[in-house]
Amino acid sequence: MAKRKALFMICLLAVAFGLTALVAVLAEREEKSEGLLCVTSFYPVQLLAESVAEGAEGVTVRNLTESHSGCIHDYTLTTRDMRLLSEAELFLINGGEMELFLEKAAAEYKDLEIVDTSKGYDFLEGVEHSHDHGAEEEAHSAESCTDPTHNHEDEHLAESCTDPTHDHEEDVAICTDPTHDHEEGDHEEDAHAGHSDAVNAHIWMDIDGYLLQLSRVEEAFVAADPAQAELYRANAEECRKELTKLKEEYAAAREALSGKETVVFHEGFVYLLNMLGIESVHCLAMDSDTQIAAGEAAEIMEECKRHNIAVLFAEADYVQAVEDTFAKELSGKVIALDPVTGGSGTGVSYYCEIMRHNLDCIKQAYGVR
Amino acid sequence: MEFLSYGFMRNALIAICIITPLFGILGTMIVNNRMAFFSDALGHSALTGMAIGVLLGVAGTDVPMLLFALFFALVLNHMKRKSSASTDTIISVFSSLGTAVGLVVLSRGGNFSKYSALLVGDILSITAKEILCLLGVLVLTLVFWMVCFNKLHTCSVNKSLAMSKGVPVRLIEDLFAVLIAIIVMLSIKWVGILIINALLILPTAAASNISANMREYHLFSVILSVSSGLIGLVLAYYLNAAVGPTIVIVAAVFFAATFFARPLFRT
Repeated sequence: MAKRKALFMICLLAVAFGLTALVAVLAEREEKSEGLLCVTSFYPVQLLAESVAEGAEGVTVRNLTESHSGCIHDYTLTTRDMRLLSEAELFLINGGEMELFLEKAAAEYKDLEIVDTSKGYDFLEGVEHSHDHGAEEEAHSAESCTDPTHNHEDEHLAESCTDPTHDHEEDVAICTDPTHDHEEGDHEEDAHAGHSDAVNAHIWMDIDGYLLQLSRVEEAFVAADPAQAELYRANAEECRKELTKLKEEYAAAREALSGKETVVFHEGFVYLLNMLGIESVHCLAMDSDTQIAAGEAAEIMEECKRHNIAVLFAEADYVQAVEDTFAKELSGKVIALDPVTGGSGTGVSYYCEIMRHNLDCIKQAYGVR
Repeated sequence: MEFLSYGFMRNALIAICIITPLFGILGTMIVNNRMAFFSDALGHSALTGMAIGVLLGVAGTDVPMLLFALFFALVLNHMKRKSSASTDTIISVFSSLGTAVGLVVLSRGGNFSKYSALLVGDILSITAKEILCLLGVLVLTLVFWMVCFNKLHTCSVNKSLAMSKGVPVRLIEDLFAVLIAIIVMLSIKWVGILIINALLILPTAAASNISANMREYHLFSVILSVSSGLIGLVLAYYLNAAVGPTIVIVAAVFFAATFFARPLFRT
């Protein structure tokens, strides 16, 4: 009996290991690429890299999180990713704590040059805490930093503190002007205590932010492959033109939309709407594995009523969920915007296409022509 | 053997060579003592442990996770002895509470996605230091196994009998709970909350299908556990799949194979 069992075990294991070996032989291996392998961490960065490296010889752009749609906060590396990383010479990431999954991996690949494309950008604060208090403050510096030609200072004040409809006693979120006399200092501290240091990493939704990323990507390619520097610079210039044009379209729409208020369900939309002067009085990051907390839902409804908000923005996947929770009660509508975190297109022109579509949706929602 | 040219695969391979025999041995003891649900509950308590770490602002959440798991295991054992409710009820209460507290804290502000890696685990990012840690636990488990296995086994057969034989039942049970807690907490980041129990139980269950005595039981359990680990890792590499779940699937196939082979060994 023991012999029979031993024989069975040996056969079982032989078959199992044999099949595994067969899979290993049959499995299609990704060919090692010749020349410069540039790996990007995620879709918006991939689009930039594709455009900048377009037509360059011996350059391959690969994206890590290929099969993943949406933001990549919760991404885990697969074996293919790890393999790509160990072969990559250039690794472009979004930065701003978007690539949490890299903390460990980066330590493993000390030789790999990691380029943080958002370096130097003043991020908005994340939405760990429900109030947009810090975000407002940061938005301020972000805008004034990345776009020195605009004087947002006054506009911002116009939007927030001088607005007579606002209730300053209650709404800490709005009073970010340092000169403003805070009576509820304790209250404010409480609000801060709830904050994490998390930043709102979705900077590509701000065209200025995306332009900054473009420059970083351009510099990275030029440094990694000086022989084709001219091509990279020319490509980047093309993209810059396209993005600037897009930016102008947004600026043109700003006048009609400025001063409006809304609630958003994706952190990236705060940046997007900021460009149009639309203030996100509340931002709730939706995730496939997050439910809307009851208190938060009530708070949002309160805020919607107080600010007379009838238009809310969410990612297409979550429009239904948001509608179910809020829109019916508020007689408002939920508009789907695309956060450009995944798609079928390539290059910066695809980004522009989506952003144009977003602009159209926003205009339509507010009945602006 | 091309996959061995990558550092992360070598590390994962070594880690699997340590974790799987560990799970093979521990699994037999867990199944014998009918504690499968207990180890599952412990896995879920990792969420609360991590939440405590986050609340305290500790840099690494490993220590709070481990401390909480130890506390959790001992309190659970205590409740089990004191309460009149059945064991699985008590464990279920603890398991759900552990999960709920963790979820409440970790999902504040909709940021749960940051921690969801804990659910699936990621053995590919294991570092040399952590492998050494696992090696230490393997040694600890082997020592416990050699010193306490017979006593633990007596307890599992009949507590009164064990006591009459002079076995310190409470001490042995608590020690065993502590051991499970340490192993579950140290490996949960690599294996993941959702499937850690499958890895503990499946190879053992497969072994019990065809074993006639304790020696075979342990031997087969370790062999099947190690084989599932190795095959799962290699398959995951070539098929570009997540490692932990692949290992579990392989282990499940072994279970099915041994299940249907049972008639062959009937005397």
